[in-house]
Amino acid sequence: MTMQAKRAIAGEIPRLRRYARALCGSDTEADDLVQETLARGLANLQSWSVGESPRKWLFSILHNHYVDQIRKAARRPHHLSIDNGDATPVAIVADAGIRRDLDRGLQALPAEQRQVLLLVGLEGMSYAEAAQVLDIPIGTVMSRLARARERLRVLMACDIGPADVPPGILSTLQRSQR
Amino acid sequence: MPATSEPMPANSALHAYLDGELDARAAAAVELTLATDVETRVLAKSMTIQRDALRAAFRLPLECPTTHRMIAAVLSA
Repeated sequence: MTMQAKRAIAGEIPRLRRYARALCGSDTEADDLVQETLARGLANLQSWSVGESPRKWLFSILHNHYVDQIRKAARRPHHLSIDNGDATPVAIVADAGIRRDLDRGLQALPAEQRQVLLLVGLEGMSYAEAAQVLDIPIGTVMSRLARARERLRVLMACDIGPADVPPGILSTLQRSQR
Repeated sequence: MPATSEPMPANSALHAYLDGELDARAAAAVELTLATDVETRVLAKSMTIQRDALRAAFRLPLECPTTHRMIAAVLSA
């Protein structure tokens, strides 16, 4: 493998770690996931079309490994499951509390919604890129994304009223260009 | 809208607008709704707050020993 290819893969490590951390809700699990992703990637370099950024390729590997883990955990008889039923709404307060509250909110979402929410909302992928990484149709990306955001909004109990949204805020809403 | 295997929630166009995924014509339609409907604006604002909170809570771990260790491992592979 060329040094250039290694550098390209290494360059994705911060993003892989951020995504995995938000996805798993735990540092240890996230780092295991990223380590395994890198090991699988290095062992299957032929599946990466060199010349392209390795980002989608590595995120796909991470996704496949994550799904394998979820399946294994579901087969274990006494694993601890996260209760999705009655997650209590939590208010967004100070910065220190945001990550904890978001962790709780994210983990209360179904994994398939959490993946889409994080790839688009955190990693800034386009719908087409997220669809490729997760190997699902774009329409499914859109419906899961809408559900995830609505659900997280309810969980986070973000208090916005009509007075906070004069028509003039329009220009501030769209995300900046990627 | 592309074909889907799941029913599309009502606010999909708004989300696509906020993510910069709509063409000019579809974006103009959403902007018209935003200009005239305060509930849509409330939803849009809460979505941008959620997005900003996500990014603030999960920053890129650039200056982190674990990141450096992983990078070194890949470079020496």
